[in-house]
Amino acid sequence: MSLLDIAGLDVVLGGKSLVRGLSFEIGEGELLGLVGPNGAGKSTLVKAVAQLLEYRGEIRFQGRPLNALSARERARCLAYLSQEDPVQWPISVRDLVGLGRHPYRGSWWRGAGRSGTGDLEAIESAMRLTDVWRLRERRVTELSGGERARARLARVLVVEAPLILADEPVAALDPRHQLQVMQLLRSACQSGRGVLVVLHDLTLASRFCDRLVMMDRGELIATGTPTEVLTAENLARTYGVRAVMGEHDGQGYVVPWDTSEPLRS
Amino acid sequence: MADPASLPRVASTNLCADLMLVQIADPAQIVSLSYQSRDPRVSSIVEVARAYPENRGGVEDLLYLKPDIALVYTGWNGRGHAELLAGRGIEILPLPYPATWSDALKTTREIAARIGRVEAGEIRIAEAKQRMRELRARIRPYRALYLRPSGGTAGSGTYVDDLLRLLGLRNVAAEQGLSGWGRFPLERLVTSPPDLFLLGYFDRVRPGVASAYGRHPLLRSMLERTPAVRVSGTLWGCGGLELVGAAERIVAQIEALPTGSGPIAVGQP
Amino acid sequence: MFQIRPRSLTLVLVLTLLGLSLASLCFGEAPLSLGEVVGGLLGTGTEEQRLIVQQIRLPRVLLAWLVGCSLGASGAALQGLLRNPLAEPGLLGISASAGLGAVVALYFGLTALSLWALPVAAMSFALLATAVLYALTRAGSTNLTLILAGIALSSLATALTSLALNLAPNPGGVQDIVLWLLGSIADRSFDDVWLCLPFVIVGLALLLLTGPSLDVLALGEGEARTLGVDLGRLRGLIILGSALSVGATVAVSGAIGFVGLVVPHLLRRFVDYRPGRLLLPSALGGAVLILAADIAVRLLDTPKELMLGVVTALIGAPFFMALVLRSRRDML
Repeated sequence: MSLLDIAGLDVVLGGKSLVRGLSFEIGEGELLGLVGPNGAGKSTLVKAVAQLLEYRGEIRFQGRPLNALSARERARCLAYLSQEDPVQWPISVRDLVGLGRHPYRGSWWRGAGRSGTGDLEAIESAMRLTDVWRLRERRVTELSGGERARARLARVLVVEAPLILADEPVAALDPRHQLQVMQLLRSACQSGRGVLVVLHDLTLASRFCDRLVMMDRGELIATGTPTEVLTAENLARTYGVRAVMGEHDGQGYVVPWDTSEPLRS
Repeated sequence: MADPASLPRVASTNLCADLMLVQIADPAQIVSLSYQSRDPRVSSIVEVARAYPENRGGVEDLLYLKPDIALVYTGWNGRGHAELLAGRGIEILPLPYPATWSDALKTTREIAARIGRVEAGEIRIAEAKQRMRELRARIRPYRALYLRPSGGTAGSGTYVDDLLRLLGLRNVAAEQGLSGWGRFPLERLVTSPPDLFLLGYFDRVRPGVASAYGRHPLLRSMLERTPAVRVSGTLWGCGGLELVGAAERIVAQIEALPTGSGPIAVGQP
Repeated sequence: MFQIRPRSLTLVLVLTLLGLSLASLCFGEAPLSLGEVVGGLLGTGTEEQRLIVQQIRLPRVLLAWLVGCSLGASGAALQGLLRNPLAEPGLLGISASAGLGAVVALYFGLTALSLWALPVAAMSFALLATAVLYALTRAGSTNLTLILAGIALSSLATALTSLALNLAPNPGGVQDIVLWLLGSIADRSFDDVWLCLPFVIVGLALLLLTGPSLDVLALGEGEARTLGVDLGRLRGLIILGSALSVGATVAVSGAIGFVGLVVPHLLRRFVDYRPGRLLLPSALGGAVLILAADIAVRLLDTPKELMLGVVTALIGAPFFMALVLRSRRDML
């Protein structure tokens, strides 16, 4: 059974049509990569799924329309990691991660601001998983880019939502941290979770994702396994690049190598 | 008396100057009075003022009206243009705000001299002095406190203080060591209560913050127990010769107080 | 660095507040001893002592609490909502708009109809100002444009207030209003306390309700919404809460600036920089600051009593400049 079904999704923002007629699905335990050039509508799509934008069409979670759920139910179903890193206040890493437990907190007058034991365990395990437990007393604003990305990922994991939406979680990370984050997302899928991750790095996309959705100018270009999607033709058509493709340990990989004339425009 | 046509033509740019001018000038030499003198809320000479064109005290007003002399008060905005006006034959006569009754007489005398009405000035002054003399010692030496709704009072060095003494009253504010136009702290009302209130502008007590002091229940309850007289809003603000009119009304009110000192109702507007 | 946990911070602030309140009751024109003050407060002293303590000094202390709590909590809530340490009722034009509302009520004589017209007009104008700011946030403006809009609103309200004063019928009243606009809690009575108390209580309650959501908002609006924060409700609570509490207190005390800026900034480190946890301490801290400033006003030996708003501005303005300098690289 699929975790998330998207059918005929249209997003219009300020009179501009940013996503047109998109349909795809994410299965349980699946790591789905969303790729496409700048301005393809990837972030728009993710925000629409996170219910942050108005849209037309259907987005169903485990068969139920996502926008029919209450905000609280929805908050427990999907966890969203935004592209920007806008934490304004120098709160501690532990507090940052703890905010991910907000959907489970009691009413205001019952234990406001306090975390239950279950919360504390979830927070610690998410922090250990992302290797930020030793940073727990540090201020978020003092962290390096890699540390902050992992702390924010811990914040997303601690929600324990069946669906994770991550918008370019590896942008601005060094190779080691990029691999680390992708491995974490990969392992998050093992417990039956689904992950939708926006990626610019086609090498990582081909290496880690079960399936890919390729978008360009708001439309679906291709969907399928990385080998099916990252074809020479598709890459030339959407990105205007030629890539080196190969195989290592029985897994295909793609390395963009040269620019080419795009087939369109 | 000189021929009115030969007298300098005078314009006044301020209510306080208006009050002085209409008392001593020949009506024919007045070119214009300030717009405030037509406002019955602040002016006691509304009828007289209607006979003359009004001005708003601007430099342009004066250039247009072309008086020989313009009366202005300290703080007049057109100061920077005195030279320009002088070049057009308009002489600026700055007047100080009087601090005492004798200041008021002195200023009157000065204006009278400048506008060629020495004789008329002296007559007015003699009359005012006489009226003021008649008021002296007609009333008990109350310990009086002048109060405005904002808690403002008048300590030593103000014409209010001078007037109270001329009338034989004791000024509580000055006795408490206040000088100038200060505030009278509420707590001192409790520690040294006056036996007579002189209320200025209390007809304008609005239920607003601006007069939190005037609305304070403590003051209200004191006003119920202590006799109070109101000063005339239109004769009080300038401290000129017209002050004698205000003084007469104050004395008349005090004389009308019931013997002993019963409460005087100070109602809301 | 010394550590104070949030819970003990609240305790420290409450004790400071009580101590300063007692001190405030002891300072005044009349030289009353501590024993006489306590006697006056409990009603066992002479009538004179009772009048001075209960009718003059006590309302002043209570108003300091109300004004300080309103400004402190509104400042902290607005900073959390706008995710900007420079947000403050004064800077965003909320206080100035409330002042304009009050002046309009005075000018058009609405206060003659009902005493409540004054706080209601002040709150309505404060609400209008915050609603304009709210509309701007809905249109997706950045915090910088929001602050600039606040400055514009503030200037507009000040200009319109001046216009109302220019048109005012009597000059004596103008001087009173100008003085009042500078902000003071001297000579207020229990009438003034009752006039703003209900609105302040409701406003503060609305603001304190937003704590947990404000914490989550530190993650940014998108992530906060996916964690179940109802952004519209949060904004509504803070706008309404600030407008009620600030509007009502401005109506009786005039505009007192910078408290909402200084207090949250000083206390933030003691609550681990969590914007939601900052609300209650900021409310208490605001009251502490107003009380302290109001005592200073009485202790400073000036020929005429200084206005409270002048003192808070003297403290706050340099503070604001330092904050701007420090955050310039982050903000612009």
